[in-house]
Amino acid sequence: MNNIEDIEQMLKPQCEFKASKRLKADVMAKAREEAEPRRSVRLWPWVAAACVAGVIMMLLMPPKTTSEEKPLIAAKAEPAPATEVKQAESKPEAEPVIASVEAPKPRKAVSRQVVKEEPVEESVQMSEETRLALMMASLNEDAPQPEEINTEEEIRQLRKRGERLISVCEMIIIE
Amino acid sequence: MNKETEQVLAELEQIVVERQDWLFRFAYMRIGIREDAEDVVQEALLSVFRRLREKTHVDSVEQYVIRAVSNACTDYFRRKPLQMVTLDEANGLAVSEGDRQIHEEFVRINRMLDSLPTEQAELVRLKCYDDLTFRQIAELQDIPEATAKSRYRYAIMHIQQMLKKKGE
Repeated sequence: MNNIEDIEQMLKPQCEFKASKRLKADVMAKAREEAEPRRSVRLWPWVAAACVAGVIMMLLMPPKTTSEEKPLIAAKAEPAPATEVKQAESKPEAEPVIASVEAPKPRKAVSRQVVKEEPVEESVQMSEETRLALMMASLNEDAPQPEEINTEEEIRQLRKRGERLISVCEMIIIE
Repeated sequence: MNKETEQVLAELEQIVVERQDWLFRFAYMRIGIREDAEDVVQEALLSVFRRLREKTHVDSVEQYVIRAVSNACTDYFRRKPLQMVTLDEANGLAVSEGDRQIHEEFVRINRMLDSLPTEQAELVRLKCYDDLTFRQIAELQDIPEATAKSRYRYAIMHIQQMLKKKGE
């Protein structure tokens, strides 16, 4: 007894050691988890896309301060399409070129001339005389007033009266 | 998961199946607690898996596994504040019925190696209990093979004297 071999024999395992069944399962599960790409890496493109979408939304959204100016802009913008529509509508009806070109120009020219140029005074004077003449003509006429027109005869008389008034005006202008 | 990873996982599974009981015994004979010993083995096996995945050159996978579990045990004792428990106290610790036998074995071996210096006790464990060769022990302990042999001889002689004294 107590030889080296005996001692070595005593120091050898005397029973069986068994690891739990879950050890293998746990090791393999953790190894698979490590082998798969991490969730943060998978989420990263989505997070980046969300950030870009947010920035684009912020750029596209109008600032709050301009909300009051909106109606003004709209008011300024409205006439332009209206004239365009009018012009577009007038084109097919009447002579296309003349109607579209002549209609807006004289209005602008007249409005400017009335304000600035000297002939405006003449036109005002003439209009005064014309007005007087018209008043005289209308007083002297026996024809009915426009409110009293009911028959074709009255219309005819009114037309004659108008023609007469125009001729009077022309005479005054020539003078 | 790509084919390479699947291959590495298959390799790991093979190591686990072949070596898990040996590794568990190695860890248990040093730690004495089943759960902790299994955690250490798991840690060691995962480090082996990482090494295989990184394709780091390993001369011998078996030797690497032994070193991994040995280092894991050392780390365990570094992390966990050492609690000095006498062997009689350890014998009386509550263990499950299934672990009673291995716990008694743990106490028996440690009682025999208790009077030896730490290095010699570890060397005897590696040689007799874990059945490693002197070359493997020398590699693991980073000592010359001759040193390992002489230390072992001293350790056995010491145990022999101790047993003689007990017999008297």
